[in-house]
Amino acid sequence: MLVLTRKAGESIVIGNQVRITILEIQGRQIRLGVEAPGDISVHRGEVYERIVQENQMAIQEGEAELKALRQALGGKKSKS
Amino acid sequence: MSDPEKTTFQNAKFGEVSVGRDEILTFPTGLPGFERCRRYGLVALEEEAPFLRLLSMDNPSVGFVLLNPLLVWADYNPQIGTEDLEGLEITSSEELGIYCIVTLSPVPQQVTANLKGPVLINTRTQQARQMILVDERYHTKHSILAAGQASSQG
Repeated sequence: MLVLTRKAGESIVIGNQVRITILEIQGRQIRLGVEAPGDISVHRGEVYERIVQENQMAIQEGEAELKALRQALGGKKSKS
Repeated sequence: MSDPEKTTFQNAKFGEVSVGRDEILTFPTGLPGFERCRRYGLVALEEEAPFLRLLSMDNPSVGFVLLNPLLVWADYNPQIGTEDLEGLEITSSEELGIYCIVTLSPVPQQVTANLKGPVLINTRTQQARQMILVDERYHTKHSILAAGQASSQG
């Protein structure tokens, strides 16, 4: 991992399209500004990990599970 | 006889799957956790409606179940940034398709939809991406059955 030391107001540039600027340092928190083109998505690490985890859980392809859910949904709807 | 307009690929669950050009979606950067799977067939099976199958054409064991979230959550209103739309080259709302990924479970009450990471599709170019919402109202596990019951009672 490349480790760089930066001060507030300074930035780093990744490739020729991404710039990350240290906007503000306050105690244990740092505000970052990210400039990147629209096709590069930027996420908080922990939120991204949650989506990865959910996707990995979602690849099971149960026909039986889907059928049971549809029946449960259909059953309730026909009663109302 | 194979239809020249159709593309076939293998899937672990469904065997040989055949899709038309308009059923092929391209995720230029894959999905989070599945970056190498770029091309998917969007397959609608009559017996599974309104659920759809998003089957990887690159890896036979990768497939997702999709649902139009508006069918269950009529008020689903994710804040989609202009950058996300630009990334998909979406110029009008008619070109935008939104689906959520369903996580199955043997217990129907525990089947959930991921409203935090909707799949956006440019229906004109067939390009797609999974976006991650900043919106705190939505998370990765919304019970479909609970919402379905609430909406059919209301």
